[in-house]
Amino acid sequence: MAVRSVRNASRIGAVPLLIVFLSVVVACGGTASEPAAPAATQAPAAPAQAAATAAPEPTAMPAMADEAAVLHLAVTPLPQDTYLPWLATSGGHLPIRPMWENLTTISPETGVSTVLPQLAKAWDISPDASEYTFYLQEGVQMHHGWGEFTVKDVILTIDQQTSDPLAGCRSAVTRFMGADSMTEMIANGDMDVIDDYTFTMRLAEPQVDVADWWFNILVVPCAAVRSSAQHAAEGDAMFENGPAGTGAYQFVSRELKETAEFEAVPYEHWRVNPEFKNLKITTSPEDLTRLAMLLTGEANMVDVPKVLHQQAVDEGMEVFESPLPSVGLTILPFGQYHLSQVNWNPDTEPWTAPGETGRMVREAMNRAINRDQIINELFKGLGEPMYNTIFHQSLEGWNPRWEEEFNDKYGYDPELAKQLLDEAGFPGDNGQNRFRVEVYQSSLPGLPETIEVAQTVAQSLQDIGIAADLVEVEFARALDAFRGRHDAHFILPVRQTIRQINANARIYYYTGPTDPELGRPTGGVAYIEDQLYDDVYEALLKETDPDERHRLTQMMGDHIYDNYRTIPIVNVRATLVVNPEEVAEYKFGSLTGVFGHLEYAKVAR
Amino acid sequence: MAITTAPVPASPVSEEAAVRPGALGKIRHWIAEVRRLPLFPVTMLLVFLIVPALFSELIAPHNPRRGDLDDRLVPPAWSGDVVSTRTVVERVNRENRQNEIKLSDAERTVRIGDATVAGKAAGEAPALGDQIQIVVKPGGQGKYLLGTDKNGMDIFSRIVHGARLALVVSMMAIFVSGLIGTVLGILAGYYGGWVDTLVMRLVDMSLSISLILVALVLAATLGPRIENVLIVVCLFLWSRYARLIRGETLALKTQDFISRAKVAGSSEIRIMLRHIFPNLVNTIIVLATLQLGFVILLEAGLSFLGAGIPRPNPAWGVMVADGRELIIDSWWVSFFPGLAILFTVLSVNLLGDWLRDRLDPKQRNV
Amino acid sequence: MQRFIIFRAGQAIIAVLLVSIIVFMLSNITGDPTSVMLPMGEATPEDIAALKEKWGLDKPLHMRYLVFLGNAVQGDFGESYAFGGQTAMGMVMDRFPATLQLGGLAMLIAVVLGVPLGVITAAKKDGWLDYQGKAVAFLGQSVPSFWLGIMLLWLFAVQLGWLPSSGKGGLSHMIMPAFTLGFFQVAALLRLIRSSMLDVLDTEFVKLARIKGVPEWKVVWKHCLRNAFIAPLTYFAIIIGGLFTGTVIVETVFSWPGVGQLAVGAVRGRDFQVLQAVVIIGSSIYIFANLVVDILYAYLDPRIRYT
Repeated sequence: MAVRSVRNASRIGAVPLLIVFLSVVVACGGTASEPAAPAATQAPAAPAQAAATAAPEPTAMPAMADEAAVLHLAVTPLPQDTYLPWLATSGGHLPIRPMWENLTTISPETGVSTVLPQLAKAWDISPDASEYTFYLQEGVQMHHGWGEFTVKDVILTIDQQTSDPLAGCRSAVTRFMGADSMTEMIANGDMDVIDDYTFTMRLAEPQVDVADWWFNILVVPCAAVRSSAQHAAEGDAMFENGPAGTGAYQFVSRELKETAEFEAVPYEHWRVNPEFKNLKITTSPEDLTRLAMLLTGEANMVDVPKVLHQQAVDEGMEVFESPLPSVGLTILPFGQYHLSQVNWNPDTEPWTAPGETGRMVREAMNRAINRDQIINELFKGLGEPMYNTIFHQSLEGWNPRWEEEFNDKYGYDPELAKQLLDEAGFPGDNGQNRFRVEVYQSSLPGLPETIEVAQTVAQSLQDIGIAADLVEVEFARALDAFRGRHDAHFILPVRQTIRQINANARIYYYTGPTDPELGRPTGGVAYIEDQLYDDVYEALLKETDPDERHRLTQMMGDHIYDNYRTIPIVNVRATLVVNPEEVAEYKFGSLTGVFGHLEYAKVAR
Repeated sequence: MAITTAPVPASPVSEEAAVRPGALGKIRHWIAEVRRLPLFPVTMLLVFLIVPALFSELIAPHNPRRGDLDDRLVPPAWSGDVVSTRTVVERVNRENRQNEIKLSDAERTVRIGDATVAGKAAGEAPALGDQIQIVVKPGGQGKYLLGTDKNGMDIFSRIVHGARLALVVSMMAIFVSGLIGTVLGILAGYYGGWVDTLVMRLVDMSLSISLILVALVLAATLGPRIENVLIVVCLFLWSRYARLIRGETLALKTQDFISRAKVAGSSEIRIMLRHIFPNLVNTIIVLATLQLGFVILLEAGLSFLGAGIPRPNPAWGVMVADGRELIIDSWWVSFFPGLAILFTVLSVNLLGDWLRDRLDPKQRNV
Repeated sequence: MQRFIIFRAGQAIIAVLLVSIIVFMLSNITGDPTSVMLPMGEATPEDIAALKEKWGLDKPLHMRYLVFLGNAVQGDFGESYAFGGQTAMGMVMDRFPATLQLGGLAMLIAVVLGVPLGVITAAKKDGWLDYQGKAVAFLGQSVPSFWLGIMLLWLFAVQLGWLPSSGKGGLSHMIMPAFTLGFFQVAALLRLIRSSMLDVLDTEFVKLARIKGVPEWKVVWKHCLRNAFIAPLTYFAIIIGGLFTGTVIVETVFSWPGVGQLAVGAVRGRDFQVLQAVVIIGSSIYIFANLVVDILYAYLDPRIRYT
């Protein structure tokens, strides 16, 4: 009895297992048979279904395309989403950007260096960059009948921005304004409201980029102008219920991190009347989901990693590229804290060593990396080499020699790299284990390829004998590490948004004053410290003469370039995959390249 | 159901003790034991877990932590190239998309070497109206049996090395939690009273906390690390041992041979170690085997969520996660690692079930 | 009985407290949350100090825990960092119905498939059906749910195009995630019902019923099943816990906007307020479910009442 039950107990039925086994065979065999059935038969599989269900809709009613046209965008959710504009970082406001306008803006064709008027039709700046006069557009309607846009709305916007310690640009704005709010500035007599459409500000300290940066679309939360009349009536609840702005689209509904819906304003917009009367933005964290949404006709414009583009193109979708690169990927060899010397360990971290040694080590690290391979394989050719971190052809200070000399100075040459390390005094054991470095690997929204780049860079460093370990970290932890000037035994691939030189110099290279209590510098993030960069940054803040600004930024750029301060990798153009039967044209934005100018999208006919 | 004085009947230890047949007999006895093992799960276990884990270096043809970017997403060795000829046009007609390609796309694919233009030298830019030969999907390569992932790492090698990782992590977790659980369980069962109450309340609490949520918190605070997996598994698994062992100890305590040992003046520690523990070995082995599958699944799940074993370690869960977005085009990236998990856990579970019926039929519902 | 309920309830409260301590300590031992919360590049020491005061981070740890606990009891877990201006509690409550829907459907699938299969396999013990049922059970307990989900997605959404790939919508959106979630539970339930049915089928009163000529189907489905349900009841709480664990993975795979997805997102964004809320609320529900089941069990089977 016992024996029988034991045997029976261990017997299990074969049918379910057989089903699993068969599925395996089918899965593997499915592709094995593919060569016999080329493109024509291969098509029906996934996409045909998608196409079949998607196709009828747009073709069935071409006549009313204009009225019913919905631009449905599916994008990666940003790490942060909020109803309150002042709490949003420059990324966090993106899903709601279509309804806001700013005092100034930029165009994707000319890039961030050319600042264009938007709600401010013009502005004057004093030669020492300490006094501004803004002239605002007249006759601009606020949504939902909240009256006309005036200077009051600007004051409300900035006041909200400076009221919360969590707000994005609070400290910088209050510092140059010399007051805790615009209202206080007026009370102090530093700001004159001349009429409903003109105001003058006298700044506490010179700030050259108030119009270019702080009031620009690039930092939307700072100056996404909202209705003061509505705020007076509804308070902060307005942001959840349906805020009024001035953009070509007005608010319909929104669920944080899920959807935001907009409709074209019912009146003649002062700037542009969108062809798509409805706009829906869905966020979904899974790349596969967004691609599937496009293929099944649920969405007509999605952002997906480049590795998935080919799949979409095979199904007849089209990839739109921004005219200029929107983000770059650069690798920062950490710990070059030559000024503050907090946790500065040139002995164990030779890439931070002063003088020639450090320079040679960093050149070797640069030379170990095969940028062509990264660009062609990881970015599918949708990128171009970055020649110098934070600089670009479209920005001030550009030096053409960086591009011309790039192959000679930064080109892929592992043998030379090994030689350089030998000469620099790191022969290791027969060219192995020269020194240790950790390569931090973290996924960044907007540039999923960072993970693979980190992997590749670690391998390239291993190839020249550096003991490089790949360490997966949350980006927030890396942020902790360099904010707090922890031990800098790592190098970090970061996404470098292409911004004006001022803004990026502040984040990347400005050390700032040292906080006695913390014992470390407080200026921004300052990945790399150098007296020259501090001096240039401070001079740039008050310099308005373009030639002098060019000279200063180029001087800084030359120094960074010639000393191999960073490991620049690639500049990437923003891409969106669209259904060409529904969307004909799209005007890219700037920061992430995605949301800037949705109102200019054109309906396919 | 009554437990006899002689420890659990079918255990190899007891038979051996009873027969004492000398070295040859011993070997013969073990062969008999091995022959009694269920063929299917044991073979599967050997093939999918034990052999790859022990001989990873010999079996795996590539370094599991390095990839070649030139060989990204290579399909399994048996798939062939899918090539298509397309006409370069200004605007692709969607109905005709299998035969046409947009000029800018054509230029790019030629530039990165995925396509050649008919009648032009390699690398020469295509013009409107040209015919281009485009490799829609490159075929497999002999050196990558199960294909490669998006880093160009060999999936087969990663699965093989992943077996070692899975085995080591789960064995460690089970050993540590088994040790804690057994000690606490025996103490609780033997002493009763407040020790029992304390241990059992701890057990209840540990069973009432959601594993995965705590793992997520750990991952958020400490980052993904192997230690996290161990901590999480141990924190919770010990209680399952403790509860079971306590029950068994309670039953054993009333047996005659324990009372006799007490009368004979054995110390309490000796009683627990020499008289109670040996009678629990079968129970522990069965439970450990039954938990092994659960732990492997849990570890894979945590790794999948990014709360387990960090990259570039070849953890099966991470491999499945990495292939998720690629499932349309490159199904092999998550398919094979998942299959490895399925077969391993299945074989462990089958073996555990068999062991339970054979060694410890009491544990029906564990 | 009353004493038992009070005792168990007290124990449940202590368990919840313990969870809250673990979670609170974990989210506070590593680094200073302010550095994550403040925007990159623009924070000054004054900003940091202001933020610390706002979040009470300038006080010692145990004081902060008491404040945290006091607020938590009132349902206030602070403001979410990733969802600026939203309370963590509000975020969890917003997502809760979606998770409940999914979990409910999964549970339904588990019961509808698991219970009959368990009964049939027990009634036909050692028959062909029993072996097939066992294989289903083994598969269910061995297949990684995240992988099963991806494979279903590949087959039904990508290859066949029958079902939507993910996201929230009608019933069709729920089929795949609910099945993925329920499959493991089908297996668990099948085994539980089977073994408990086997025990009952062996008892005297069943034999008596058979002798009295009660039809076999009535014996199995009416007399036995009712009695066989008592033992699996204890495992019901474990099943609820399993569902909760499963939702985290399944919601991630299918982008289902529930609590699980919220938790995973909170980990990625280090949104500790939301994470604390999810873990504490989730664990409390789990502990409460255990409590209810225990009490129910004590009513149904007075023998197990202790103290």
